[in-house]
Amino acid sequence: MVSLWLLSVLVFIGTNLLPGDVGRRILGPFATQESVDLLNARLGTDRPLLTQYFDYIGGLLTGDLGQSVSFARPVTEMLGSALAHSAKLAVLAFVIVVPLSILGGVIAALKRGTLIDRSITVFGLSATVIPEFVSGIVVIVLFAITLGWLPGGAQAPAGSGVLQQIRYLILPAIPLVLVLFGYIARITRAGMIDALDADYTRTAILKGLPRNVVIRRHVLRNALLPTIAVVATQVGYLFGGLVAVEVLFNYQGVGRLIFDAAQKADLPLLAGGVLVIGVIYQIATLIADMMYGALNPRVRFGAET
Amino acid sequence: MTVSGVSRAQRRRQLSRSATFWVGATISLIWIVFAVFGDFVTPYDPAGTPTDILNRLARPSPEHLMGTDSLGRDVLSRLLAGARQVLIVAPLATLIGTVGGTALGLITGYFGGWVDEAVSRVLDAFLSIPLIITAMLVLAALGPTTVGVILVIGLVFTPIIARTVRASTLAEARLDYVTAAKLRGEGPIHIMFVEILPNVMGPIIVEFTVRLGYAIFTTLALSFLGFGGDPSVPDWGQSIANHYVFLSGDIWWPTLFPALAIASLVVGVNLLADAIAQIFET
Repeated sequence: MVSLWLLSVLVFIGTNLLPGDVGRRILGPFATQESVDLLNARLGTDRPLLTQYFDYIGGLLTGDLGQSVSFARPVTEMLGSALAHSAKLAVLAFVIVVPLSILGGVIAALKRGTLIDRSITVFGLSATVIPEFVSGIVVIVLFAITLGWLPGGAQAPAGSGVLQQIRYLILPAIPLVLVLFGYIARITRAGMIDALDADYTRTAILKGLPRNVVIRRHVLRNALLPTIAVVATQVGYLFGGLVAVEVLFNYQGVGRLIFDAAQKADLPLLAGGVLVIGVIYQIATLIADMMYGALNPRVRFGAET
Repeated sequence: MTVSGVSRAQRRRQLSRSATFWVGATISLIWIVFAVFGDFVTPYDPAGTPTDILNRLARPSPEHLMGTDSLGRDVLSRLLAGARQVLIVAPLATLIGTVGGTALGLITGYFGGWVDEAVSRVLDAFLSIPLIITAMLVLAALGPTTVGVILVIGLVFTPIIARTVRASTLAEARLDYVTAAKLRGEGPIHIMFVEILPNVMGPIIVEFTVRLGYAIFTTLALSFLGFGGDPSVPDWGQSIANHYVFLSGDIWWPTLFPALAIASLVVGVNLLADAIAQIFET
């Protein structure tokens, strides 16, 4: 709760305090003072900051994020449809990357020190650090233009079925998959190696259990714990990556919305978008904590969160 | 993460045997050389000349090895000039974050208590928004400038680096040499910056190199999105943003060459960071 409140304070500072004159910032340096005053009056940004702040918190609690300045529509409504779009892309990326990267990390750990391990590690590291818009460009050139296998835009025509929509979302998902692969594989590998070297693993081997039973029953279960935490934190990260990907592939999701809002200095819309992303991240972290607790008998949560 | 027991010479020897280190260092060095001496190598003016427009979107040829862009400017010249922009912005931002984070981490780790609690709460809230979005929010509120990009990345890095430094400081503060310094009557500033700081340099160096990779990533993503600051300065992210629409017309050179430049730079810097992190962690 404290983090949620702090998040709202940070967003408030960013969109109401930093710009100084909110109306001027939105309309730009060439607008007349009269129209700036008018906009400030309409947004309520001509009132004392404290009044604005309580008004803003009140709005948050009732789910009212105000009106978008450039689109003249309620922010909540715009965010709703954009979130649905982004969720499709994010889910597809996760469905591809989670099994793939865990498998990669497990193989790398089991073949520790070999060429296979080195290749997976270096590939993962490189894939992770290349910005999404760069790998996005490469996949567009390769698969959409040169080979012509998949569409280069993300927006499927209206009324398309699920499979058709997925077809349009595969290319945009690849840059997200590449970035996430390195992180998750790396943590899985580290967790696996810790578990493989642990005393309980040696005990299990000395007990005479077959290697694959040891790995399945003792190593994997312990090794995947840190992976869960990483997957959760990457949910937040994913939304950062969505901005560039949705702009590049021209897809009407939350990232694109934040981009438009930031470009047009549409501060109410921007504040709403950033808040939603922060809240999603905090919920994901909370779920990860609970899963971690449920899976690991050694962790028992007390009153502290 | 303790660095005791491994001498500086040993670490240097380890580093010189690491293939990752050499590949990363070579790539990074090449780009630094281009950034510094690019002006002497560039065959054309990166900013372009009024007559360039007559030769717009020319394919790669012996005159223009990487072709020309939508305003007829030489892509290779702009590529070399663009290296300078990112190699000034990203290291400066990382330096600000490292210096600020080190000071904050030493203070919170040494004093603990409510300062510590407050900083980690704010950090949690900060971290729930992706860096690129925080940066866009701040730049949209203040107006996008190059200085703004440097400051906002440095600002976000500060609490992140502070957390690492804090953890190391906590461990060091319990050791005998700190107690001895206290008994000698040294003040907290002396203990933090003269006694503890040299002993937590390892994690700080690792953090700096890793963050440098993130800073490059973020700087370029911001310039791709149009928040990179001065639009008249040649910049890889901006070149891609301005030309990717031409891809479907089979005009790939103004987009693909900067994209490859970015890929090589970030991979180089991160291989270097990885090699450095590995020797400090063993």
